[in-house]
Amino acid sequence: VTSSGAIGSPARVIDSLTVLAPLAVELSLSAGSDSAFFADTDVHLDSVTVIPTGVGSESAAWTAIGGGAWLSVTTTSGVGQGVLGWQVDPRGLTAGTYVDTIVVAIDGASTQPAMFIHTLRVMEVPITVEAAVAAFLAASGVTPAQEAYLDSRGNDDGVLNLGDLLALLDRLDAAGVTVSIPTGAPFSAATQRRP
Amino acid sequence: VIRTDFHRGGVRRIFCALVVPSTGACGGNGTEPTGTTDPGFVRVAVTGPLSPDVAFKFRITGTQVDSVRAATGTMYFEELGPGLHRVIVVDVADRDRLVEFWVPDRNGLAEYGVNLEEVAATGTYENLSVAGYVISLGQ
Repeated sequence: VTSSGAIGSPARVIDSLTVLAPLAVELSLSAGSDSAFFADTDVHLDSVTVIPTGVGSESAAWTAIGGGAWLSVTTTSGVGQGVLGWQVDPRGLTAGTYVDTIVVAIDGASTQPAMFIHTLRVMEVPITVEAAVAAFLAASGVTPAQEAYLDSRGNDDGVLNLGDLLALLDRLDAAGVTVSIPTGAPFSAATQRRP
Repeated sequence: VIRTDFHRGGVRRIFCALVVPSTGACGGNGTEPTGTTDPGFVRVAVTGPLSPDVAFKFRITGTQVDSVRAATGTMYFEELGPGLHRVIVVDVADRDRLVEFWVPDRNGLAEYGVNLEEVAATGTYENLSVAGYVISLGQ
């Protein structure tokens, strides 16, 4: 600003403009994966951090949607920075790769929502059911690796034993798998489907 | 009087009583064996801590173990070799009758054996000590 004859002229006025970021949302991770064996019953939880950004992020309300048969969102909403949780349930899934997406959006915001892509790989059991049951009865016919697998999915006490069989039977029940083991005993032909 | 099996024995005893009541033996020429047999089922019973719900794994030894069946619960059975059998029973409701099996003569029960190998809790899958349990055969 100039004023002729004025002391200090010209004076300078500094005008600043800060363009604030629009309200948006980010996630601490955008993708993740894990794996399970067929007939596993280990339901587990997973989570990421929801990070609203921009004007009013501290009080921004967000909503999470997604999931399906094997993935279910356990934290469907929040305010400000928070934890988005979900549950992965491999029970009943056959071998294969499963992908599901969770979408997190700031309520009322026009920015793009954030997405988390979860991949679950269900692998074949590394031993047949019949061989596993026979292993418990005859204590033979399985490799050390298979023994380790059965124990890790059982009582995990470092030894293949009866408790591991009980765990296997429960997993098979949950997966709807029928165990049919001939008894070898005349006329009892008992097929050993659990009641 | 010679008893052979459940069905024919009764008939034969009656017959003997009517025809040869004074001899004490029954047979066409008197040379038939005079010993008695008692074919039928025997049971495996276990005693021990009442809780938790447990499953049992045990061996049965004996030359003629036939028609093994679970009285309650679910049974897994395998013949490991001549006279040696392994049984696993889960979801047991009656410990006095874990399994039953048929033998040709229950008078010879002493020739059979049963040995408890493992006990595991159905809820936690934990293998428990077998020390507190006693397994036995009976009629």
